Amino acid sequence: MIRELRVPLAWHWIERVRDAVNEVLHDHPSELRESAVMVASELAENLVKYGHPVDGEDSGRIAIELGAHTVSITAENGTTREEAAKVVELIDTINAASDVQLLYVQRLTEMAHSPSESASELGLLRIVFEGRFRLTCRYAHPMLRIEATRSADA
Amino acid sequence: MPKSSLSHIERLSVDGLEIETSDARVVLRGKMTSRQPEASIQPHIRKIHDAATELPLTDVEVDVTELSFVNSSAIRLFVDWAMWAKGTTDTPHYRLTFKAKEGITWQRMTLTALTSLAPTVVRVETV
Repeated sequence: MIRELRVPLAWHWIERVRDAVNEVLHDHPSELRESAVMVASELAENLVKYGHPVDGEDSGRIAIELGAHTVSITAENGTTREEAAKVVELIDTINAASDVQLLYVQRLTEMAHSPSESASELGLLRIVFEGRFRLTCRYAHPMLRIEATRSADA
Repeated sequence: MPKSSLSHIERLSVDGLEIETSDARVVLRGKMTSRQPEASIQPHIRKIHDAATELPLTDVEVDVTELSFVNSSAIRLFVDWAMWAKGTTDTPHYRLTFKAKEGITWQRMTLTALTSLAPTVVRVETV
């Protein structure tokens, strides 16, 4: 089962993404559903914050796919090479980490020492640490695609 | 209301979030989904912190059991609050005890991670 949503680059659309995930996973355990809502919400926030219009279309796309044993949430949007490079680097760092909790605490520590910095840059880390999803991404200019997947059986 | 507790601080209701204060207790309910919580929510938390240091209080309980969802931008608020409570000397201004629900993942994991950041200041009690 796949549910796809076109997400205009406006903040209020993120609530609709959270609602869609809750609907798709309504009969799954609350831990999985809440984690998936968080993951979709973080991906949608990034999409709205950093997404760029492509071919005049001022929106991105979020897909929620429920397989026999997995849940996948995919975000796809236009973005700059610079933004995409940051995302690719961060996901590589997260995937290479032997201890994601440590990475998470390190990021909280950096935030604590940079009180004037408004961006938390915590969303992708949170997807892996709190949500126990695995992240992959692909950039083919100008489209960035981020996929988060985890077992639906856990 | 006399200023012997946090009770004089007015309730905040913004973007699906409510913050209520009483005595040495702060209750957060709803969701934190704001794009810029540093503008819409942080000033209120700063007001609570300023009142807690002025009284002064030694312990503040923060009940988040009815706070079902926070986005990553809102987590920054908890980091800042912990650092304000910690202060810049060896003795913290006050201790923050988060009352959390074991079954809510963000509370269990992120608040526990916060205790690593300021172990003498932040405590998590699960219910």
